[in-house]
Amino acid sequence: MKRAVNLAALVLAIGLLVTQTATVSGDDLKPVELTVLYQSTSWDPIRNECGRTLTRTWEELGITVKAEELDYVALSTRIMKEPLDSFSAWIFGLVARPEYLDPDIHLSQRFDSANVGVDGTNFSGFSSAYLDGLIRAQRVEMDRDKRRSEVWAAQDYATQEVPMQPLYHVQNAQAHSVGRFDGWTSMIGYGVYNVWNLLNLTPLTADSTVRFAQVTDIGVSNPLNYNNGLTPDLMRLVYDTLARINTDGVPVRSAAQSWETVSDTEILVHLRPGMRFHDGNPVTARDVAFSYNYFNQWKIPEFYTVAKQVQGVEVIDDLTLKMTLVQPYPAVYQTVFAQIYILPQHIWDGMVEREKLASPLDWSCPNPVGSGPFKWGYWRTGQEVYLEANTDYYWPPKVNFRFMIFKNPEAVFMAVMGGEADFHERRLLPEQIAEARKNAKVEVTIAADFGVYYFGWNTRVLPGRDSLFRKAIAYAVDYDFIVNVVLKGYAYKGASFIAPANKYWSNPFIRLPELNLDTARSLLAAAGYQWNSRGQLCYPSEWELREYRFGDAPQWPGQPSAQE
Amino acid sequence: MRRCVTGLITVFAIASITFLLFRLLPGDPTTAMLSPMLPPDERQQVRAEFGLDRPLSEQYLFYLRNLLRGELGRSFARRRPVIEILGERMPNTLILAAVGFGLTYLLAIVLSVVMIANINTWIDSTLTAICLLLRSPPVFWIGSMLITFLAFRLRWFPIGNMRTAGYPETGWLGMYCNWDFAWHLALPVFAVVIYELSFPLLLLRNAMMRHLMSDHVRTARAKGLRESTILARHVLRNSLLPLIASASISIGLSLGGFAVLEFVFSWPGLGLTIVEGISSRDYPVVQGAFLLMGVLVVLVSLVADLLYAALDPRITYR
Repeated sequence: MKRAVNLAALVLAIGLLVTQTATVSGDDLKPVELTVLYQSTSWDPIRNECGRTLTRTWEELGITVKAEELDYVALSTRIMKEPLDSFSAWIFGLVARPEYLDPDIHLSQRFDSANVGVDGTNFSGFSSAYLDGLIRAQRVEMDRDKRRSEVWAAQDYATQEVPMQPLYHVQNAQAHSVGRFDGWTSMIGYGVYNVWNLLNLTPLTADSTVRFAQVTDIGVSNPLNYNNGLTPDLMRLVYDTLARINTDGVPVRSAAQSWETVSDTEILVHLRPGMRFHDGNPVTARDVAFSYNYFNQWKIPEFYTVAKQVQGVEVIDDLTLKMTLVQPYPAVYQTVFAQIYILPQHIWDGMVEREKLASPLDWSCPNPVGSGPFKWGYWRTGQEVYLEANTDYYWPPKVNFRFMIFKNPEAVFMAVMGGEADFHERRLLPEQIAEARKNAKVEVTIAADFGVYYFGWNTRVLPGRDSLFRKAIAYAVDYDFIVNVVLKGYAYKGASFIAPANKYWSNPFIRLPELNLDTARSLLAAAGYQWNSRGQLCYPSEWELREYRFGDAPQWPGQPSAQE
Repeated sequence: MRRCVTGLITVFAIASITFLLFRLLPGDPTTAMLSPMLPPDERQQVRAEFGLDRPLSEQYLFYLRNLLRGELGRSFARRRPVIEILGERMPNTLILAAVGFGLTYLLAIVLSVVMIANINTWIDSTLTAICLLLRSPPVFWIGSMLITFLAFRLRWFPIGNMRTAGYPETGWLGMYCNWDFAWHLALPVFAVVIYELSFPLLLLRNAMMRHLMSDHVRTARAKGLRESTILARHVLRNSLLPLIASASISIGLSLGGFAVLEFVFSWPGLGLTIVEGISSRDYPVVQGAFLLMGVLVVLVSLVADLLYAALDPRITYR
């Protein structure tokens, strides 16, 4: 009996000791666990490697990371659909397209709280009344300099709160043939696959057809179908717009010879005289008015976001129209003027009824007729598209254009290296750049890209909801490794959401912290996080959600403020 | 009759399974078609247009109803009838398969006769070793190596595709019946032959070896027939039976592998259509392509059975 009592006392003592030890060592605290989504290797090896790099670094801090490698569609769906609390962080990118040069798309889509929710574009779920105010003010501010100060302030605030953190901005490297054409012209965000290049090229041999190699077929020849951006890139060559974005990203006149601002919401547009559609019919103000009304009437996806800024278009005469906007819209020339095609009214008016369709999107449009610099030749599905130079265009091209499909990026690269194609769209991988430079038959051009590749926190759930956690982890990104090893130096460190290459709008004072795990640990400890005996980072024992005060956004220790 | 009914049940099962399988894949098809920056109401409009907002059971019934009417639906990405898209792509795969397997089996027959005629010599051992070596690497690696060395480095063949861009011919005959097409077909066919040769060759060789020892061959030798006649008429013909039986399974399995080959060679066929459809979640196209492949496999199996009966008078079907 005495022995049993002694044994029981011993067991109790050991149990108490273990419990005490556990309490003292933090073993009863909840470890921080992250579910991080990023691209699979087959989809994007660069972002996949970035995901692995972040995972490795965060694990050094004691964070338990569960990585999920997904393809583009699966990843997009996860961050947009319910359950919106199934992930902690993700890696994504916003490629450089001319329509993304205006800062509104970066700010409102990514940070405006109106876009939080299922299918919303504010994937992080971040909500800030202060930031909302800045974003909505800049959207209607017609004074360019004042708008810029609002845009800069929004970038600064978003950077301070880090719901999303840019990782890198690529340098867009492309190869093109040497000796066949002269006048290669690169464009911000697009490289050499742009209309200006095709307008400037002069053939140096008897063959005047420039050959472009691409991985994906256009899928549809109906200009109203966006098809993830593939169709518009080609259709901009066939269809004209009132304005076009030039190589520096500035909207310039195209079908519109001139325009005058009548008021903040009214613009008088004068069309270029003598323009004709490819079937010979003249281009008039009625076609322009019809086009804007058509995109609005049918709510054509992707274009409707822009078209709905237009309240109405009034035809003054054959070459003059007055456009009325719903509200002041500073990006009108960049978006409304540059993205809505001028459709021939004589073809599209009544087409839905004639073809007995439910929507104009269902029309196969086998022979697109526009008024752009190139006429539609033919489309051999899965193989090639051929466009002929429109010699009646106000700036007639001297080349024809052949768009060839090779189903994988390696074949595209080999086609250009081997002389089967003259240029390509997709940027070269770092190892391909080195090989292309050794090839005397091609020239490599490298230009800064304004795309942004970033990781974001799901601020709906812990720990992403904790701004102090986010600020600490901002010191746990190995930018050097990403830029110099993964991208072999052909990129620059992430800065603002509006990339530095977008010179006018990017805030030049934005500086993201360098990798410093000691600082990250100090900040985490100051925020109440602890490490247990197994080295796992754990949530504070008495958790409280940190609130930030607007206008007094805390900064990282030692970071200069944006105003300095 | 019974075979036809079994075939129909198989096709129905394939249709239902593929419908469910692709709906279970993670991802919303609209994210493949449209920019991630699209406002929710516009995305919902597209979803409603394709019936993706309806309950799964309703989508399934709609799918079955269309199937019974011979319609495979409309592609989400291309907005064209699936049957049109598959109709354009299928001949390309069939031609590649027919030429590839035709050459493979012809070569298998020729080489197996050579091996049997030189059985247990260095010729037999060397060919066996080469066969096993060629079967080891995956088909995409074989394709990539062929492109790298024969197309890219030596420029003997094109990098990919079916024709040189800008070809002037129109129509079906213009498309396929010319040297340019044959030149483009050569490397993918070569890849098929390299990858597929070992199995029928070794199968045939082993079957012929067994028959060499049989009584009827001994009788033929005793009658004084020439060795070549014995090989061709008595040994080879009897050895073809297991080859035909396995051919239907091999060809069926290999058609699935053509997706990889078509991707590597940028060959616009059915397999590539499946790869594109899966990555863009274009359910109707992938469902239609899988259904078509299923039907092809069932047909190939039926043809194999009939050939079997033709070659072996002992076999009859009731």
